[in-house]
Amino acid sequence: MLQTEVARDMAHTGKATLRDIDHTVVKLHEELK
Amino acid sequence: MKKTAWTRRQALAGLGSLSEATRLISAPLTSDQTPALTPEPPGRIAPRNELVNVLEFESMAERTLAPPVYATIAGTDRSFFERITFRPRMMAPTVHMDLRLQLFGEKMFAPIMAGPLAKLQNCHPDGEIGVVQAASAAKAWTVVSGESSVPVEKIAEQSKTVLWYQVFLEGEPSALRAKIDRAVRAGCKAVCVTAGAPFRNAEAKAGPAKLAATPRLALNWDVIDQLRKGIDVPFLIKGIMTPDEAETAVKRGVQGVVVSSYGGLLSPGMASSMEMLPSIADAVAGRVPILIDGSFRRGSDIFKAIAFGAAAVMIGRPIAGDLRLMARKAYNRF
Repeated sequence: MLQTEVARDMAHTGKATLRDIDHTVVKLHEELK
Repeated sequence: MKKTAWTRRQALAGLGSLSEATRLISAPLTSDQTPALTPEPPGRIAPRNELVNVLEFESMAERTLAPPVYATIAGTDRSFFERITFRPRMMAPTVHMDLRLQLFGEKMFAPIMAGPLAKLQNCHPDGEIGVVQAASAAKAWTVVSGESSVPVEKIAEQSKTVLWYQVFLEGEPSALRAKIDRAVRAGCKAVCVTAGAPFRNAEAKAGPAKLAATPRLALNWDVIDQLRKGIDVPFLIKGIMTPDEAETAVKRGVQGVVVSSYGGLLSPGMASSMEMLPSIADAVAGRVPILIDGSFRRGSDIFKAIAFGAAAVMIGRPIAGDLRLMARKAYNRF
């Protein structure tokens, strides 16, 4: 279940392998609570 | 036309197939109408095959279990996850996905581990054996708790995955070291020492006298140095929550850190582990692997931690929740 969800998110951010993931795939919204 | 009342689950299931989606779309609604969905009936226990993610399991657990029992498996503050969003990139080849990583010389199938959980037979007679069997089936590594209800040797016998061992820094140092040596002999590939074990709920309820009587080691780095001397498997510290402590751990030669806030058992108002991860990752700067736990419930939570520098994520309470809910064999959510 979780493995599949991680793979889905990788695909949606254009990353095929785990080692390709870095902070550029996410945006941190400081203003949100 | 006969109006059909749909529950939320039925609607979601229906949207998954073209025929059902067509049925909704073709309903003769006026421009100011939206399809009426009947809310989930209060107290309904959905069949397992309707549950689609860990949070839904948790929701069912809340309806099924007595409140004190549910409290032991419930998640805590997840607000920091909501402050992070993804940047979608669709024009990239992602047909061949690879979630593997290398950690301490071993290949991990995906960056998700079963975290240490004490006395799992309180949840289900299968206890740690059920968890390690489920983790083995999912190729997920497992951290055996030093307070397991099944001896570590028995767990190792049933395991087809990599095992680590976790202990709290409490009790006599010689006894603690003996536990670690025993686990390593049983086949555990790494040792994870939880620093600054929080006072447990039961102890806190017992009052100040009980708190004062609880044996704990005087916490300092010399204790860590002494404890890890001669241990020939990777030695990690769990419970690192600041960049300066992470920096000290690395300088002292610790081979990995686990960012952890003890599942919210610390005093109210403490930062969540995910909140501290980015600054700790900056401080560690790739010198040792960083792991993390703390209310991870979705793959997107795990993905966010990886993006901010974690090598892998430990899942704890959802697994205990599985054991509480399941009727037979360990159900696995890995």
